[in-house]
Amino acid sequence: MVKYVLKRIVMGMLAIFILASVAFFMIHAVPGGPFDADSTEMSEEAYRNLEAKYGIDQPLYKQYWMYMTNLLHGDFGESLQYTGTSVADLIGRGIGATARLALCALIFSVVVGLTLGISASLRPDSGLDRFCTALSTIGVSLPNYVVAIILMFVFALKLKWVPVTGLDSYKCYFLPVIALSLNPIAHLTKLTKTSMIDALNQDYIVLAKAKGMKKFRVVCLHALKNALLPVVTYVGPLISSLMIGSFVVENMFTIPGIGKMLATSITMRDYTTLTGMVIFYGVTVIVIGIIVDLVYVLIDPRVKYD
Amino acid sequence: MHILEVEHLRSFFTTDNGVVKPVRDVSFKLESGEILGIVGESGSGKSVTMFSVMGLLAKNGYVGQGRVVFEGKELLHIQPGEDWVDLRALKEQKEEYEKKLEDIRGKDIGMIFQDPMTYLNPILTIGFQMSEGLKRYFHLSNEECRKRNIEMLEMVGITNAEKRLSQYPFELSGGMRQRVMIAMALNARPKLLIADEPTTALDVTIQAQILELMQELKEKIGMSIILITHDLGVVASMCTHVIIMYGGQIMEEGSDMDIFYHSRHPYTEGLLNSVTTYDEKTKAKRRLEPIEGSPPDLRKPPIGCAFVDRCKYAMKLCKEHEPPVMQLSDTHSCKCWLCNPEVTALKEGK
Ligand SMILES: Nc1ncnc2c1ncn2[C@@H]1O[C@H](COP(=O)(O)OP(=O)(O)O)[C@@H](O)[C@H]1O
Ligand code: SF4
Ligand SMILES: [Mg+2]
Repeated sequence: MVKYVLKRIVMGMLAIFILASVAFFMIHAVPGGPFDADSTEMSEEAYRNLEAKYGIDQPLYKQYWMYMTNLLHGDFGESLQYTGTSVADLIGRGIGATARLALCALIFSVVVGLTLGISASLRPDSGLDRFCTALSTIGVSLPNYVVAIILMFVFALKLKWVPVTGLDSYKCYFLPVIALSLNPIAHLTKLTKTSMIDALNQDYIVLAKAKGMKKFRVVCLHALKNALLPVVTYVGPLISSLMIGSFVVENMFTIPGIGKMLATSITMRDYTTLTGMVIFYGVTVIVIGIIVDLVYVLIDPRVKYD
Repeated sequence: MHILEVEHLRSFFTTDNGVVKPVRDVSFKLESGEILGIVGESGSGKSVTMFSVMGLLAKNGYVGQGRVVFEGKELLHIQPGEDWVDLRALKEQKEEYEKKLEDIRGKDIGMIFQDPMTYLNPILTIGFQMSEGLKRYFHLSNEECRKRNIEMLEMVGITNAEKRLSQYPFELSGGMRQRVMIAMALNARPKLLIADEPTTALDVTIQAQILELMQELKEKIGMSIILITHDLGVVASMCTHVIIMYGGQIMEEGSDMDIFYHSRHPYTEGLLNSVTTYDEKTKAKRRLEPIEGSPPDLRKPPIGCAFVDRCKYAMKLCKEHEPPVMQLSDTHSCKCWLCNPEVTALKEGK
């Protein structure tokens, strides 16, 4: 087990090395430099100075070598866009907002999705079941910018219950969290319902009842624990994608998260920030992957890694 | 006193291919402290009968009619409906019955199932699963549960009991899982034990050991047992009261003497003739004359006698009319036209 985790960490580091290299070269393969847009107002000399300052005048392999050695020390370099700010600081500034939103959306979608899924599995063909089916179908197909626009229009502009943008008060969280959660709720409801129906039909449920276990315990312990495996498989990647932050939602609600930052760094050709963020995403995905594997072992003793 | 009375029980399953009727008017009474054997080929409705009584029918299964009385208390009473299709009412009655049984199952009535591979929860430890009932009904502490579980596992012949408690079902062999299930059911010292082919998965030595244990507990705590099996040898050595089931109906019922020495039903005769014997000389198992043919389709059971298609004495009458249950003595009854004196008189007159 420990050996497996260590192996996963080493593999993860290797993956990040490759990812960093690919990101570095791909970004440098794109024509145009970071200071191109301003070059008309800049003298040739100032331009050269800037390039020298950030090492952009060096040959590519040297830039790569520098970048990688710095990376090993946990240094993503300095942002090309905001002079004097390190990429790590920049990510640190954005991650707070994104993480808070992600956590709220995660808890909200897991609680709602599981509750709906379990209830629907207990009463097939009831009104609630049909509602869940409708919700899953709509939630899966509606893109979140549409949801965001509708929510914004109804609750912020018309009813004025909550602010339109920003993340200053707790009220600001409602709309972006709902916009982020609708799709996960749709998936989780459907997934939970299917795997609960399957679990409830198993023989071990009959034995649990025969032992005299009350219905609540039969459903919420004997069936749910078995039904949770496919749910965990979905929740892992969900956490990663929420942590990466949503371009769309963060942009629409003007939330200073890292999703918005990524968008800006692309348009501004901010190489260092961009590579830094790609690596940050890679690390997030890999770490969460390892955690999900560990959770698997906790839930299902039959899962063995070697 | 009767510990369990079942009257006119009918159960059915709704399926995509129509309604399956595996229990068709089954009645029996179980004397407190006796061991009742229910025998019949597979598919004759033995399991479904007991599942109905325990309120454990699958989602698509319903009791359509019947009365169940446990220790003199009426638990279920469903009058025969106009037809069997008022599912909503039956569903409500089913849920109500299941709720009523929640406090009886596991404590007063224990059940052992046929298939050891699927009935244990795959992701909970043996110890956890064994303790659940003890905690619910006897409020034992973890330590007390552990002691009791170890004792019980040793009684059913499991070595290394302490270690087994922290293992999961997939780490145990089929025979061991079956014994765990038996230990689990006996743990609460139920008044009635329903054992659905409990030893089919076990080898002969362990089978004997388990049966002995069941008998011992029966004496010690006055437990009554319903033993479902297709092994007539086991019935002969254990049971004092025997029911022969076929096609969802009771064909013959009587004491062990009635069934083994004075059987009257052609199906019982067939079963007795097909007993697997063990040849001392060749050390080979030998099956004598199995009954030809296969059990009836329970979606469209025969109008007359359920056994008519395979019976070597079948008459025209048997095809057209269902034979009534004939009471042959205080203990012995038989559902066959041949037991009807008028029919035999007619036959002989011919
Ligand atoms: N959930 C179900 N749905 C439909 N048919 C069922 C279901 N469970 C059992 N049956 C049918 O009921 C009949 C009797 O089964 P059972 O009581 O298990 O026989 P046995 O005497 O071998 O225990 C079989 O024909 C089986 O196919
Ligand atoms: S009633 Fe007729 S068919 Fe049925 S067992 Fe008796 S003789 Fe055979
Ligand atoms: Mg059976």
